[in-house]
Amino acid sequence: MEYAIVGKSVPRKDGWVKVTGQAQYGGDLILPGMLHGKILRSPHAHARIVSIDASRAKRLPGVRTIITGKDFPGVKFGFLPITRDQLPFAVDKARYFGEAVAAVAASDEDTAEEALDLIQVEYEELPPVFTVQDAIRPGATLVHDDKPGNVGFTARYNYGDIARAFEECDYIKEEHLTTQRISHGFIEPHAMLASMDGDRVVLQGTKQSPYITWRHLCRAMDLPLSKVRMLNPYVGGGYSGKHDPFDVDFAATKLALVTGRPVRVELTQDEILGMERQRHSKDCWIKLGAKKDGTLHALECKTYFEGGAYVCAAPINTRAFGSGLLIPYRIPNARFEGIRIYTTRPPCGAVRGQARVIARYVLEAILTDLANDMGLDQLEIRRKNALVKDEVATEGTVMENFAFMETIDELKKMVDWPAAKAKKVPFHGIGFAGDGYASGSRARGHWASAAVVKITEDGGINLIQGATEIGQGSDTVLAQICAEALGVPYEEISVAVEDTDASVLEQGIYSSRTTVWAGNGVRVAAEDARRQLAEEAAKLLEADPKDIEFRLGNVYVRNDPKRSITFNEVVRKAYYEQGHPIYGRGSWGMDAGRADWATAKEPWSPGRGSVTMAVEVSVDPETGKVKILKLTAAHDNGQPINPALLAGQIEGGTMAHMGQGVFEECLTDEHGRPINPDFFDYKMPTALDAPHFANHPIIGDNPYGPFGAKGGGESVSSSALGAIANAVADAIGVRIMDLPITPQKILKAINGKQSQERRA
Amino acid sequence: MTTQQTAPRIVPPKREYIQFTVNGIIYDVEVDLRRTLLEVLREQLGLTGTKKGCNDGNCGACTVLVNGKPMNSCLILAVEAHGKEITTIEGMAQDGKLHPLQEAVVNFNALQCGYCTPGILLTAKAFLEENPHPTEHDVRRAIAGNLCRCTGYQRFVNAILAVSQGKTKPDEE
Ligand code: FES
Ligand code: FES
Repeated sequence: MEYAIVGKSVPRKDGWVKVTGQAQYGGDLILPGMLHGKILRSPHAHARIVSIDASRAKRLPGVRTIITGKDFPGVKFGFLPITRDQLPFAVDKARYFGEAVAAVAASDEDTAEEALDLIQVEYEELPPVFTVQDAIRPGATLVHDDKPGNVGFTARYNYGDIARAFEECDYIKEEHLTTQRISHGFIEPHAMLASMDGDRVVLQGTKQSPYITWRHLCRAMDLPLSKVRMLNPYVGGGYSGKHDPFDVDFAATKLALVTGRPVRVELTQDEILGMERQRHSKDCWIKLGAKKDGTLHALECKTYFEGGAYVCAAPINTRAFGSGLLIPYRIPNARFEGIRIYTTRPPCGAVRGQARVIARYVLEAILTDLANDMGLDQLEIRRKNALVKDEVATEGTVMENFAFMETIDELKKMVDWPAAKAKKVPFHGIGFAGDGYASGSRARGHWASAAVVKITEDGGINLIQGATEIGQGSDTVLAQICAEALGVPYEEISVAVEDTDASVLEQGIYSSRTTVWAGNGVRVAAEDARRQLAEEAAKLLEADPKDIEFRLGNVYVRNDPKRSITFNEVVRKAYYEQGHPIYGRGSWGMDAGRADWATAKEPWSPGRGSVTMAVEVSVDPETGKVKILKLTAAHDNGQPINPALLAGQIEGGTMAHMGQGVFEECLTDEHGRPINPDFFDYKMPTALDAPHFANHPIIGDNPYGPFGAKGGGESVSSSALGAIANAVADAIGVRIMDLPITPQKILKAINGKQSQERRA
Repeated sequence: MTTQQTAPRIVPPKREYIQFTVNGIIYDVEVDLRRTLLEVLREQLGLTGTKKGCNDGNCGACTVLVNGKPMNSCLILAVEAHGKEITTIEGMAQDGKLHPLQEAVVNFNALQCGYCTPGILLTAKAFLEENPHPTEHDVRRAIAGNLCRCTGYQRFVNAILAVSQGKTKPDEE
């Protein structure tokens, strides 16, 4: 199919506004009379709050109000009804260093900060628990009195007779892999501006999925949804880290409600890197068994998710991990247990690619080691076990339109395997990994997507929809879909900001869902507008509406293109002569069934991308430094709507996983205080660390996606962590079991291996 | 324990007049001595295109040109800018026409969220003026002080290299 706009790397809608510095982000927003808010945070990892005395702070000139946890209605919020464990601010006790205890609104930031120093809080320290081992020990201090064993959530599955299945295996590999806490690493600090419009709150700022924030925030503040309006300015990245409401959102909203004035609360990087959401650290015992020929037969995995004081999105994490173990390879017998443990550390939530990234890492690591032990080729073992189109995966997912096998074959060509294998250079390594990522698996709340395509009387097009432009390029991709479906030039489309008053919000920007779900909503709305326009055009061209074609602003009769009229003329006639304003409405949703959190089973999703990735690294044996040389991916994301944007997603996601692989870790001292909450000590990859990228899209099929698209945001980079770790293991001949793979660990491993070789 | 009954007092900040040029316009502003150039640009001049990322010199989002040199404006006191010529992102396009680097960054899809972008653009502008024919490694080193969490940097590097060769568009994609 020859598309006019889909499949073209048109320039981003938000390009001009961003390169000229005109784009306004949360921290740039100012309203008349605006106050500044600051949050007072617990200086202890675990402490009873005995009393809070704000009387001195209140008398500081310029201070307007001070709120504490008791000013909120005491309604807990959380991802599932059974995991509602969090209040906006700490009330009776603080459960991590940095938990919000009080907040100030003052005329300027300095005054607000000074007021924090004047608030006297009396704490009674309680014993902290920082690790899974400490938290699950019998008699351990409980983070929540009603959560015995400090267990926050558990997901399990059991397919087949696992004990017997392992007996049937010819080779079994077991590993204990651990992964660390990392931060999203936003360059833009969280900033929220709340203001009053009559009795309604208008809340805008750094949110990725305003809908998710909205419903949880309203619940915890006991406000009807209609009393809070959320709208989104430009957002400095999402990376799955700005979904649920944070202390900064609650503080801004409450301070505005109390003072009646606009209040902006901005966080600093040490608050964000050290005290806001992070990725769970994980302790994973994994066992994989295969038949002689490399056919995978049995998998057992028990993983502890150390996730801090509140469960947050952990049911998604355990699901993403559990289901991530079973796709894209066929493993007929499998047992999984994912246990989310409370500790007195900052709460963890979703991070780019989700816990699926970690599941793919552990599985690809053990698969690589098993293949090496058995003397099997890395790509052959993946081919042998690859789920194929329409096959039913062990947990029941039908692999519709699944092109994973094709990505392995394509990658094989791209890296010139097995010729490359024969040319092994010392301390150079290559690692492989694959994935098959859902294009939007169902979470909670409403799950459809809706859009309005409003044609202005001069033929302009306003696209009103609910997906947030967080940098991933949704405004552009949705405008392309709209333009293609409507038959107008891409430049004609203006995309409105997301606004709970004006648009039906997207369920959320996660799980690579936006192109498919929001894209379908937009497509349906554009088709509705086009149908209305075709009726008008048919009158003017004296033809059947069914025969009216639209392409790049030209409207004509099929098979007789000379009978034509411009898009503008049709619109004008409709408005001025027929009294027919053109509003296309559309929504799209599929019954994906209910999510089954306890068994970590992913619901049906309208499309599944796939990828095989190869990473090439070199390791300096003197310093232990890893250099990622090249990253090659063969992937299927269906019909790419905008290939350059898709490639940008792949590259960026991969970089973040590279950070987790070899650089980053959120460190704390023995009191639970962050040690490295700044970009000097929290090392993220720079341009000098970034590898070369080669990616090749295989255009697979997806009848559910708009113009055949599949999700692309996370679905390719999700394999990067595994491939990087495998490449390092290949380079040094040893598997490092705990992330990040730092130079120190590498040197230790190399020395250990050498002395072992000397002994042998 | 007795609570103090009087309101705590704030010492009034010292202020001073400075004169400097920002994007070709001469400004006379009274600034608080403690304020950074970043704060004065954003809060007093309303030039919010200069971004605050870390506020401690580690991310490069706040990069502006001071007499043509890229500097982290969060590390400079506003009073130090007295008599200097500052270029911010708002001054990069001239007469409504994008600078070639701006054009290339859009055409190469080098940006995503755009938060790091003003800083990278100004760093690159100063860099290319000093090094008109850089290698790829030179470019990477030049922007290594500008953190970007959205992209893989490669598109920025390609865009900057293209501009050094008189191009603003990728050959193909
Ligand atoms: S804000 Fe100045 S370097 Fe980060
Ligand atoms: S584009 Fe988002 S940080 Fe660089």
